[in-house]
Formats: sequence, structure tokens, C-alpha cells
Amino acid sequence: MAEENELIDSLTQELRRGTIVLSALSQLYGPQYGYSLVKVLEEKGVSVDANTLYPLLRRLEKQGLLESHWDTRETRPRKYYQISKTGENVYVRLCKEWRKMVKSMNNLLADQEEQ
Amino acid sequence: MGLIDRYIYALIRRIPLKQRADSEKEVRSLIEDMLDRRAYGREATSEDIEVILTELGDPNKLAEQYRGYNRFLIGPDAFDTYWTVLKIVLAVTEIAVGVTFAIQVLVSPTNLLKEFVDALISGVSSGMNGFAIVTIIFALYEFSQRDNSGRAGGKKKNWSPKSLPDIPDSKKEIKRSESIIGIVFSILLMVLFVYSSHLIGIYHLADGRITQVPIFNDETIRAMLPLVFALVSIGILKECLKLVTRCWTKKLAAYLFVINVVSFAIIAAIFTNPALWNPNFLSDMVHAGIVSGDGDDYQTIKTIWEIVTGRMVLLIALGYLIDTCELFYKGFRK
Repeated sequence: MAEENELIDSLTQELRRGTIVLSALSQLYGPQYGYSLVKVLEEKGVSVDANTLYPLLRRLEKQGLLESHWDTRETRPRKYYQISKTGENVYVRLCKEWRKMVKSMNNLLADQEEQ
Repeated sequence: MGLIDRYIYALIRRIPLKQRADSEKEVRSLIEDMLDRRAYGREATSEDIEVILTELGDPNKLAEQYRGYNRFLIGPDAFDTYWTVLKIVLAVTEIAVGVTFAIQVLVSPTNLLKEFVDALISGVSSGMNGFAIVTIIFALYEFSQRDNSGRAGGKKKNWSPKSLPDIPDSKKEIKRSESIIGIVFSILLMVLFVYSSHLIGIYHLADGRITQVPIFNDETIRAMLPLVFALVSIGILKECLKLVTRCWTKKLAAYLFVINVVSFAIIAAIFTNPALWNPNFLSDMVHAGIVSGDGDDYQTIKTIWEIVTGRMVLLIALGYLIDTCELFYKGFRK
């Protein structure tokens, strides 16, 4: 039983991993720094570890989907990320892909339930 | 603060230089944010710090994610071949050093301890040479397999079914033993020229004593050692290519042709240098009592010596020509 739970945990994590980019992009229409994004996502029921999200933000920036700037006015310096023009296009198209995927997945699962 | 600084130090030294300053600031501010949230108004304790660093996890793994790719000198694809070649090279090197030691003892049995220490030293240092040569060859191979268009040290080239190796038919198959003999030959060349060029010579047994006249000029050879290393590296590279490809193809023949041209250029540079040969060879021969100072045998030896030293390059060129014809024949026949 414990083994089964462990397996389910790791499979769930695998499922979640693919959705992180979409989750992050969806919340970056306004500027957020890494940790505020972690908190926002958490509040909305999507928990992402900081050690996954931070490198991901950097990667998305490198790929041109995000823009960033440092804000040093606050008590500690923070790097704010925001979606770029390219990022917006990519996000819209990714959303379409996601909806298609959800639809076909739902069909698959419904098929199974009917049997 | 000690632990946090150590964590950040461990993290940033493993990420590319360009990103370091930026990542350091970002991660530091993340850790402080996490601490604030955990401590919730009270002073953060060292226990809090430990909990948060544990949550962030092994800095090596985090750095890996920051880099976005794995780093290795020799990847898993090439490692098996690397390991095989390395074992052969090291074994042959040590055997060659052992044999050289035996010859040395036979020639001058007087100073056994010194010879033994010398042999130990050359055993270690030629072992390291062999190790370095093989590793550099395979590291270059690994590097050449990487995609140049992407990030530095990025992902592997795209795979296509066309890149599948042919199933070697028996006619086109390259025998592993052939490559191994080639490697053995290169290593022997290295040990011979690097550590015991003075032992290459004419041996003469008279009255139970062995005398020896060196053929080469030791000093010149020492000055040309970089060329010898280059030659040996290219020789091993050639055999590694054959080991990896496993059968004759046009592409392999083309590569080997280039290698032959380069290595002939090097060897020609070595053998066209008149200072390569022992300048006192003829008088040494007389001195050793192998020929008498006058008479027919001296004239004969003199003629042979002049032909050998003058025409050696032609002989080597002939050897390379035959080898090149052979590889084109093998590479292009149906």
C-alpha cells in the first residue's frame, strides 16, 4: 500500500511537471518575482517548489518568453519577471493545445467509464 | 548567515559565469523571503535556515537545473569504447616499459637499481601520457557530437535512421584485433622514442658482452618529442575511428586518408631532419669493434648507412602509399 502511494505520488508529479510552464505564464501578465509567483500559484492550488520554478523562469527568459528587471527599491533586491510579446503569442497557442489535450483526455477517460 | 553563504557558494560555482552574479542575488533574496515567511515576524533561527536549505535541496542539483544540461567529458555513448581502448593502451604501455627495462638490463647490467627506478618512473609517466592521449581523443569526439547551433555544451545532434551503423558483412568488417595491433604499435612507438630512443641501435655480442651503437641522435629526438606525441595521438585516433565504425565505409576511408596525410607530414618532418641520426654512427661502429676502421666491411656499412639515412623518407612514403591504396580499396569496393 505504501509502495502504491509512493508510485502514485511520483506519477502525479510527472503529470504536473508538464503544466508548470503554462501555469507560470498564465500568472505573469503582471510583474511577479519568483517567490511571489510561488505564493500566487500555491493560493490557487498549484504548488510548485521554488527550486523548480526559479531555474524555469530563467530558462523562459532565455527563450524570450519572459522579460525581467531588477527592483532594488524594496528592502531586498528582487528580480521581476513579466510575459513578453512572444510569450503572449506562445501562451495563447499553448492554451489552445492544452484545451485540446484536456478534451481528448476527458474523452478517453469517459470511454473507460462507459465500459 | 554562515550556512546560507556556504549554500550559495556551492550553488553558483557550478553555474555558468555569466549567470552567477544575477543568480546569486536572486537565490539570496529567495532564501530571505522563505525565511521571513517561516519565521513570521520573529527572529529566524539556525534551525529555520536548515529547514529552508533542505527544502531547496542539494545545490548541485539546483545548479544542474540552472544550467539546463548535464556536463561530462566523455558521455555514456562513448564510454564503453573509451574504457576498452584505455585498458589496451595502459596494458601495452606497461608491457613495453617492462620490455625496455629488460633490454636495458641486458645491455648494461651494472647499475640495476638505477635502471629499475628509471623504469618505474617511465612506467608511471608513460602511463599518464597514454591516459591523457586517449582521454583527449575521446573528449574531442564527445565535443564534436554536440550540436553547435544550440547553447554551448548543449544537446546532442539529431538522430536519424540514416545514421544507424551498417551491419558489417564479413568482407567489410574491421577486425578488432587489427585495430588493437595498431594501437599496440603506436604505444610501442611512443615508449621507444620517448623513453628509450638510445636503445634503438645495432647490438653486437662479443666475448660475452653486449655492445650497442645507437642509430638516432638522442638530443634531436628529445627536441622533437611533441611531434612524436602528435604522431602517436593520430595513430591511436585512427584505430579508435576503426573501432567505433567497425566496418569499411567511404566516409571512414576519407577520414583515414586525411589522417594518413597529416601523419605522413609529421613523420616526414621528423625523418628529413639530418640531425635525427647519430652523427658518430660510423666511428661508434668502429669503436664497438663491429667493423674495422678500414677495409671492405667499413665501405659496405658506410654505403648502407648513407642509403638508409638518405632514403628513409621514401621508404616510409611507400608504406603510407600502400596503406592509403588499401584503405581506398577496402572503403570503396562493393
